[in-house]
Order: sequence, then C-alpha cells, then structure tokens
Amino acid sequence: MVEFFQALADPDAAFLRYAFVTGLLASVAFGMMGTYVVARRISFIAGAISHSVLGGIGASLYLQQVAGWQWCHPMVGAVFSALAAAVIIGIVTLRARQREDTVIGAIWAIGMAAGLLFIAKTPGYFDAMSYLFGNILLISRGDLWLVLALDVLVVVIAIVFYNRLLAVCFDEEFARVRGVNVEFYYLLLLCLTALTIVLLVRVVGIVMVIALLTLPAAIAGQLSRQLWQMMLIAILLCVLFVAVGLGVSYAHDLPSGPTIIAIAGLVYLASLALGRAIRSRGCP
Amino acid sequence: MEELEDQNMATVPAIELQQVSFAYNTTPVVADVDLRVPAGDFACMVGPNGGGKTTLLKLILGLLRPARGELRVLGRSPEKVRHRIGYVPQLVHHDPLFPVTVGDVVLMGRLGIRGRGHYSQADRQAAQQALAEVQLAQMSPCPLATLSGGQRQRVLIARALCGDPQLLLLDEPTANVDTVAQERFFDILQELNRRMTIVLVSHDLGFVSRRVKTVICVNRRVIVHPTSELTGEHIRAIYGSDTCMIRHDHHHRHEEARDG
Repeated sequence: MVEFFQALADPDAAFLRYAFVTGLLASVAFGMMGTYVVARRISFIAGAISHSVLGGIGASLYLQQVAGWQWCHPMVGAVFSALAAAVIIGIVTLRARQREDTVIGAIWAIGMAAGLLFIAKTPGYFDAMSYLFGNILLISRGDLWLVLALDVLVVVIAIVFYNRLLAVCFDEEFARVRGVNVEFYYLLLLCLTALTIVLLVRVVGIVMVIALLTLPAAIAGQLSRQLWQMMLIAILLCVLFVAVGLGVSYAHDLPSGPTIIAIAGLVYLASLALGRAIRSRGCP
Repeated sequence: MEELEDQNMATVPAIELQQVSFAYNTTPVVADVDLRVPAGDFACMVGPNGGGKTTLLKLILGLLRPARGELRVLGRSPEKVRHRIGYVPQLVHHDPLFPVTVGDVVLMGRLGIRGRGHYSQADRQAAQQALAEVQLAQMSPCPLATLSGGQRQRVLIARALCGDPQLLLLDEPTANVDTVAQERFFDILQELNRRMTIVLVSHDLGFVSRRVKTVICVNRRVIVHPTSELTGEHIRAIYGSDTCMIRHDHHHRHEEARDG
C-alpha cells in the first residue's frame, strides 16, 4: 500500500493520479444515484444504459477517424448514447408497460453491437476490451474537469429534487395524485443515472460499472433507515472500494476494474449477514 | 372568500358523476354511471373483480379521464381539488424494503401543497399530528419495514390526512390486514368521518356493511343503497350469483401484542 501512495505522488505515474481522483470525485455521484437506482429497483435499466455507451464510444471513434470530426471525443459519444438510451427506455416504460423488459434487453444488446461494428470499421487499432473492462490509462487530465462538472450537476439536481424523487421512487401513483409530474422526475432520474454511469466507464468498464453503482448502495441499504443516510454511506463505500481497489491492483499488478468490483462484491456478501439487525435497532 | 368556499362545501356533493363512461382501449369498464356522494357520507364501493371499482376510484382521483360524461369532485374537476383529496392506496403497491421511515412517508402527503420541494416546520407538525391521530406518534423515526401490516395501513392513512383533506378515498384498505387491526382501522375511519367524506373500495362487503352509511355497487354500472336497505337480492343482482354473507355481530377480543 505504501508503494501505491508513493506512486500517486510520482510525476511519471500521472495516469494513476488521474484515475484515483476521478474515482474519488465520481464516488459522490455514484453513491447518490446508485441509491436511487437500488431503491427504485431499476438496476436492469442502468445496465442497459451502461452497455449502450459502447455504441456511442464506437460511433465517435469512427467519426473522429473517418469523418475527421476531431471534437467528437469518445466521452461526447458516451454521454450522447447514454442519454439517448435513458430517454428511450424512460418513454417506453412510461407508455407501454407490458414489454419494457424486451426493449431494455434490446437496447442493451444493440448498443454493444453498434459499438463493436463501429470499432471494427475504424482504421487504426482500438481495443474494445479497454472500454468493456476498464483501463485507467485512458484517463487524461482534461477528463477530470468533465467528471467534476457532471458531478456538480448530478449532486445539485439530486439534492434540490430530493423530496420529489423520493416520493416518485416510493409511490409513483400517490405522487401523481399529489400533483407531482411523475413522468418528468422519472426521466430526470434515468438521465442522471446515465450521466453518472459515463463518469466511471473508463475506470471500471462498461460491463462492471453497474456493480459499482448498485453494490455500495445495496450495502448502504442494509444499514440505513432513510434514503439520505443510504446516500452518505454509499458515497463513503464507493470511495473506499475505488481507493482500495486501485491500491491492490497497483500493488499486485491486477486490472483495476475487476479488482474494485471484486472487493465491492465481497463486502456486499458480508453485509447481507449483518444488515437487518443494525437497521431496525430500537424499533419493534 | 374562504368562508364562502366553506359554505359551498357543505351543500356541494363530495362526488358527482353524470353519465360517465370509461374504456381501456375498446373494453368498456364503466358505462353511463350516475353517482352522487353527498358531503359527510361514509360510502363503500363493492363489486366483483374487474367490475370497475378501481377504475371509478382513479377517475375520481383524476388519474384517469372519463371518455364521456361529467365528473365533479367537491364541485370542481379532480385536478383542481387535488389538495383537498386524501388517497390511501393498496398496501401491496409498496416495496417493503424501501429505505424510508414512517415520518418520511407521512410527509409525502404534504407534497404539492404549496408547490415547493422542501418541507417546512408546519409540514413536519402536520405530519406528526396525523401520526398521532392514527395512534402511531411514537413510530415516526422507525423504518416502515419494521411495522406490521395493520400499522403500515394506518401510516398510509396518516399520509393522506396530513394534507388536511375534505374527501378521503381508500383502495382495498382491509386486504392483508388481520381482523383485530381491521376493527381498529374502522374505529379510526368512523372518527374521521365526523369531519370528512369517506369512500372506500372493498371486496369484503359482509364486514364493511356494518360500519358504513352507503353501499355503492359497481359492476360496469352503479347502484347505490343505504346500508339499512341492503338485502341478499341486491347482492345477487350485482354479483350475478349467490354470495356468502357473514354477519359480524360481536367484536373479536383477540389482543395482538405487536399491534397494541
């Protein structure tokens, strides 16, 4: 672990510092949105959004190389495709309730397929694996600002609309009777989830980002009585998993994404054993 | 102005439907319904499953719009009087593991009262008062998951009450609640009926008819009876076949520690 902290200070290992700071910053958004995702039970939707991100990344790499659109950075494509997937899934689940799982599954797979096809047809070598499973070498200094900006946006909205989002997540019908615009808040929730997912796609990868979104919140849910407590605990856990995961992966020369997720998974399993007892203390 | 409105409320019927019809796609669910629930009534909607009870309730709540006909709640369209309607949904709609406390749930009843997203001190006081009214004042900081079915049902009533409604609508409030809790539940409703109109949906007519003033039979069409006139004939007419009616002439005296 000591070597890890020395490496963080090493001017030649800037990539590690960027990954570390990105992880810490993104943890705030992950803890908050992960809590909403777990409480509202939309992990499957979040999974579809994260996988559709590959479509956007592939398309922007293709456009950069073939059409010469230099501004079309993979992050731009990722944000665009994540938001598009969120809006499509949101509208489908609000309008036609019966077949939503089919549509979610389709977007999940179509996003992946489109991404792989674009990458296959992009001249030069791009390793799809590093997007699928995460690669901290992909993170640059400019990305930190992007993460920070998205972080601020997600956190501000999640706090300002806390009571309404809570009511919509807990009991949609009652919120509607109280005059809350349920459709708007549901779409807002999905779009914020989409932006959050994009933040850490490159650290833990498209396939595993969903675990970093839901596992800290799921563990926090075992320990908390209220949504905001769950958010705070989830943020702390997310920071812990990213920091320890990066440290272990550096020390033992392991890929960062799987290391972070494996640690989160082990803690989750342990929390299942102790959960309920802590949460209901002092009440019958 | 306020006084004038209050005066109106006493004379205007709580619910008034004229020739209201509604269909999901092409399947008619309720047809040509005329219904008038006077202010201060305590009415129960009964009828077979799929007969349109819940649809009628959703029309009154403004969650659905009638395809044809005129619908007035407290003399106005349902959207305009949202803040005067208290709604208690079925218990089964809720995720039992959702991380909320009893107090959080009750506060949701104050949403949309002044259009802002944050709760004031007055909101919190109203919530605490509503909880006291359903005898759960001490439970405010407890997770909803730790409560019994009967207690959770009362939390949902408190949530509806803390918006200070003039009309209380309840959907199958006695489903999944044991008999002792049901008795207690109806004691609370009868007390509330002194100051507000109550309409509830139930499939359990035998139990309910002893406690309510009016029975609204819903099976695509609607027939209203004062409970005193209710006979087996009416029940057969609306359910279409013999229905088992059970008389409850005595109170059960089981004590349930959890619910005490």
